[in-house]
Amino acid sequence: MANIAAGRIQRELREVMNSDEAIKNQIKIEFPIDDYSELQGEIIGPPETPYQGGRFKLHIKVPETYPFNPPQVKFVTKIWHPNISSVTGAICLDILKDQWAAAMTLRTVLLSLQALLADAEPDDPQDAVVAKQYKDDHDEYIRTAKHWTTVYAGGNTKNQELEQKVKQIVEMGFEETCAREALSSSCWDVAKAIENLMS
Amino acid sequence: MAAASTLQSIFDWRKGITCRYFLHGLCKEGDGCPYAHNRSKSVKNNVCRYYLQGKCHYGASCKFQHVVPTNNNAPQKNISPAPLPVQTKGTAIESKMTTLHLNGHNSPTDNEASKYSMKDLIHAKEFVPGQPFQGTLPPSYSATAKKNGQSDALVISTEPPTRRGPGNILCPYAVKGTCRYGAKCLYMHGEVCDLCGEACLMPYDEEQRKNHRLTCLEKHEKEMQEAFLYQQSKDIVCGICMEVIMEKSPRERKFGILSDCTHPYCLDCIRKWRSGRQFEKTIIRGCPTCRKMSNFVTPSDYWVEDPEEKKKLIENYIAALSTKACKHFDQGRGKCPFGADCFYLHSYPDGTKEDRAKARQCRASSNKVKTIRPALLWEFFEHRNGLYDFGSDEDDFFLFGSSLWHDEWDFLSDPSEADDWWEYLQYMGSDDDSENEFDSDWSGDVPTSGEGEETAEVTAEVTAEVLVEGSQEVGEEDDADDEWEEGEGDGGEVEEEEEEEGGGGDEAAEEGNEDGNGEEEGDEGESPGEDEVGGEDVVCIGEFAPDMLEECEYTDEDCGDW
Repeated sequence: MANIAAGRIQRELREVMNSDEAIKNQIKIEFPIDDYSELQGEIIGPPETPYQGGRFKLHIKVPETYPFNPPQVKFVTKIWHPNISSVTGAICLDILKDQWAAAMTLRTVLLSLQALLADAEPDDPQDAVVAKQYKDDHDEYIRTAKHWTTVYAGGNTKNQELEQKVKQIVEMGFEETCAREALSSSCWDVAKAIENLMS
Repeated sequence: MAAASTLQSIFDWRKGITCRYFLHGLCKEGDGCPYAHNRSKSVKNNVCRYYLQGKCHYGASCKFQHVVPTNNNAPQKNISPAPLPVQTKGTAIESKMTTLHLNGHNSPTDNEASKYSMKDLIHAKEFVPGQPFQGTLPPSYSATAKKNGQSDALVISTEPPTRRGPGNILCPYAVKGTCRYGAKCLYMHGEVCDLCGEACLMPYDEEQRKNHRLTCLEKHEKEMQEAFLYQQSKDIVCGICMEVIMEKSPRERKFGILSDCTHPYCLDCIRKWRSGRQFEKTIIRGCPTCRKMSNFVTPSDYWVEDPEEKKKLIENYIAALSTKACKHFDQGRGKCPFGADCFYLHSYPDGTKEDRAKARQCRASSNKVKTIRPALLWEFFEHRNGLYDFGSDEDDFFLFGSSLWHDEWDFLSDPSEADDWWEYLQYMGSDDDSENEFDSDWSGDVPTSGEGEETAEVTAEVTAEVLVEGSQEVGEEDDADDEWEEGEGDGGEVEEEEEEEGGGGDEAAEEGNEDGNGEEEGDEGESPGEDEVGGEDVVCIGEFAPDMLEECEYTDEDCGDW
């Protein structure tokens, strides 16, 4: 890793660890010893959002040319969000792409992601299905997002009805993850979800 | 007997030589000495030359004669104004003294020897402590001098002593502290200046004292100012590398002052950020912290935030650049992409300056192609360097936003092929709509006849020229390829030179062009809209042309084994 990148990442890690957010356990960064190019981040779901109570893990890849190029960040924890791919975890956020500025840090990136969770941008979607649901059937979106947060990110709002539907499809011999994705995409219509899975 | 007679003959032989111990009065053998104890036997021309110069240390015991030859005047010439070799102060003064005592006595030693014979010494009055001395003293130098009517020369006056040569030069050892010769030093020991603490005030030279005080005050003020600036700068952290700039290595310890905002960066970092090609112009030209666009970066040794000081700094910087000859213009042989707006000096070999108004018109007619050139060259180098290889990491992890650029670069996978170059140039030329728009704006605005018809032709022509120029430029830099291989080339030197002259170099200057452009267009009273478009366009060049050079330097240093 280039000199400047390594030096800066070390400073930034210190900054993150000493930040108020880290002390309140809102953001966290872990890194393997002697390698600052691949980091594990973690943010909590912002309150009063469907993501509340969840802890979302992130994979952060720091390029050689950092900070002249943005870090590459994706969600490891599965999440139902218009600007985050429900399959790959890729994030659509301008500051991680063409609006990056060299003065931004890992901390500001994590905080920006938290803000993104709180305030989605459905007109610039990463996941078109989620974005459509967000716009057309917002309540369904909230229900699904909460369910995903509970299942994958350790949230505590169990929804027996949705669990039941997933179980129903899993019993037919489908993977649980696929079943949940199919159900979520078809507004929890079991028949539609099965149709999607079969096709 | 025979043996004795042989011995005798040996003695006889030796009797012809004067005993050298006798000459010094030190012969132990006395009368039994086989060598001659007779001064008259010594060589004919036996006059002590040190005596003639008035500084024989042996005095009466000198083995050479202390006599001034009366029959010719030649040795006497040596006595008075003899050019003394620079020795100690003492001898110099002594020599001067002897020159004054010419009434019969030729040197103090000779004087004593002749005047006070053994007889006189025997009858000399005894010196009794506590009582006035009763005997006769040799006449003092001053009395003798007065007798000769030369009193002025010896009376210590307030006039500066008329010393030869070094007397008027301050002793550098004394200036810095102590001189081991002390009062004997031939050089002048000045008085201590209370400001700098150095003994560098000439005792008799009022003007020198005044000047020294002035320079001392200036220096003091400067030091104060520097201390203040240092204090102001010492904790400033670069917004990009996040290091304290004053704690970086001396080479990197430079601030890059953005013209339009007050966020601090090191010069290297901000230049690297602005030289990036992966983002929109508005992003890289914006401050990485606040995104406020700045037209150029001014190098500075200290952090400057105060608007007045900043203005002054920028003015000085531009003024310094305007005295340096523009490399692109090359005394009229080349073409400067910035034309009339270049910060550098555009002058012909005879010293006349380029007609800026004319240059501006000329530039407007073929603005597009000219301005695009450096940008392309920069990309070319960048591609060669692979410095910003941001496309290469795109596995399925993340689709990087700038993959488009990467595709474009693939065009140049083998940059040695001129065809690729050509295609690339055309590709770039046709790609940028905004620039086309800009062109048409301009051609409508500039009152030159027949411009519109020729535009296409001109464009093609100049593009070809660009190609040639581009390759020439590669050659000029001692053949860029070779230079990179060697690791050290002109690039490094160029940079040093630039740094000496208060930083700068092509980059900021040429970035600065944009600014100049904006202002000057404003003066011409064009509509703000056009101004903006103009500024925008020039912006793109300004950014890249110089940075190309910068990157070359970067390569020189960091990729020596290339």
